[in-house]
Amino acid sequence: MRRRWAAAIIAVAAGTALAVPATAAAHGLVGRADLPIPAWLFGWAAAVVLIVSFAGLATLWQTPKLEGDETFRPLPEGLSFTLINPATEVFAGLIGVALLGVTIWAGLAGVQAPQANFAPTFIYVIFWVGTVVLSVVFGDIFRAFNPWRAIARVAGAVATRVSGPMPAPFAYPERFGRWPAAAGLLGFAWMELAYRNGDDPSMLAIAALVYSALTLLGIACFGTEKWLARGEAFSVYFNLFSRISPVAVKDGRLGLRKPLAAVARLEPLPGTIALLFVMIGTVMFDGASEGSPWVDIAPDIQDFFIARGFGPASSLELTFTIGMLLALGLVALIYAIGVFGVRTIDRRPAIEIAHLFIHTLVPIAAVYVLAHYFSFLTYNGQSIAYLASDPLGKGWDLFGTADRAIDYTVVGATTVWYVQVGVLVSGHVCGLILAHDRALALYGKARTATTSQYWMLAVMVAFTTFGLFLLSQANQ
Amino acid sequence: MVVLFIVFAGGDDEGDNKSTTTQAQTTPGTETTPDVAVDEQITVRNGKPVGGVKKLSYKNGDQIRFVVTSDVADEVHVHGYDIAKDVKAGGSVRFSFPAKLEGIFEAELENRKEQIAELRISP
Repeated sequence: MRRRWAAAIIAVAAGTALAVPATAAAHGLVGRADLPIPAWLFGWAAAVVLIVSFAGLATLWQTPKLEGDETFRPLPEGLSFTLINPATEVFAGLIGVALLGVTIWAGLAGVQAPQANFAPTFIYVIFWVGTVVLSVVFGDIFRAFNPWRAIARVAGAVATRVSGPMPAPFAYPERFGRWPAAAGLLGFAWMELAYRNGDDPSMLAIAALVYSALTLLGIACFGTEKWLARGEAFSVYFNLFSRISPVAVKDGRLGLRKPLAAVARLEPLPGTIALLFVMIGTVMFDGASEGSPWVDIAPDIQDFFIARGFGPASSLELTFTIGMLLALGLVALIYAIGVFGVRTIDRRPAIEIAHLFIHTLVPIAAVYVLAHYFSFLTYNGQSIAYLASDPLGKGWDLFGTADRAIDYTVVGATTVWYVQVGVLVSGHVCGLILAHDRALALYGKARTATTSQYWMLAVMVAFTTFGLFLLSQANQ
Repeated sequence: MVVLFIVFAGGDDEGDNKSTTTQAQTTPGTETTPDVAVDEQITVRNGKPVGGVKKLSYKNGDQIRFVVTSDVADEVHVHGYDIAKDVKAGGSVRFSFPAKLEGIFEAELENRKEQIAELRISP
């Protein structure tokens, strides 16, 4: 959707008579955009957000319900074993490796039109957005399908058999925390939102190869589990969302936990705050880039760079990079105000307070993704049916689905609106619940807890209403 | 959550009322003769739409009608509806189809990847 505006901005900047340099990227994966949510819906939703918030404060529980809740109810042995056993583990790993392989192969060997090649749609729609939905509902499924984990486990087993026990990995420097993951996600988001060749199939294939090499290097240095829990961007990203889900695996056994309880258990490692800012900020920017005021100011920023000798396409990249960083800054500012407020009753250093409440942003990040990309997933996700049959765009029909098309009648605009607003409000409620529970655990009595909560409540209201605002501004 | 749904259901009615009152203002192509459907005109010069990307708004169920007159040969492709027609250099091509998919869709000169119109179909 961004690229529509990108094209418009380039056209304005380059003048209509000039050749437009980046039109190849002007379409990307989308030929359709969402209608903005109507003003009345925005009003109702914002009102509901406020009512729910204050009603919640008055009536919520008096003792923590999620904090330290380790409840795990195993599902029946038979069901658990059917889904999780050595055979299914190998099978899931194989699927993951195969999908990574097909993506890289299609990107390198296939036609270089983003919509006709398997790689862009698979990476940006199925993997990037689809896995978020699956993680929120079914738990940490990416762990099962993670191709790098599968490769590392096989390589480790083979190496051990050939040359005896492997040397112990290096100790992971704890001060790195989740920083590598935050950096990885920022890089991925930049590629998607700002880079001019962001949906170029061969570029994506090369990026996937480079990232695979880095990941395997990280695993070799620090061990599989450590690197996947701290450094590997997608494992960390999907794992955060999976903590919302009631489905969990413990010691190889499938079971149920309280929804959100695992979010409350999020360890406040270094880099976690940055990670959440990246997660929310990049989606916020993607939404904001579809409407005013961004659409009005972007050409000015671009002209600023063109006047300083940058080409139109580079200027656009710089403009979108700045926009993305501004969105990260805005997220940081909103959160900082909340933290500052909590410090009126809790005198600990700001960074400590920031760590104590950062987990409350996990559901907000999830619903930003779901609200913003719902229609993208529902409509563009369908194209994987024909792309799977013809991954290289060379006229094959492997599964007999090559002539499928996207059915835009599956959901109407009204449904899209209700889903968008519904998930934003649900995320708001989840954030509120987590903040309330944490405040009770930290400050004991509900009365004291409430004071700290006003501030975190303000943070939630700001994120949710801003999310609604973006939906009402998009493509106006 | 039950409360939420009740409130949303209420909001729905409200919205229907409002949308009917605003319908008269947003119905396209009615400036001159409201009862006769008029083809919107899109003119392409040097491979670009004159006056920028043409914005057309419809309600679900309306008939979308427009004519593309072009000085370059290309294929006019309406995304989403996936309707494509060739236009010759100096020729024109007429589109008429029911607005049944909601959302914002692009119409473009397929070979030049040049967007010429934006179709906005509201519920």
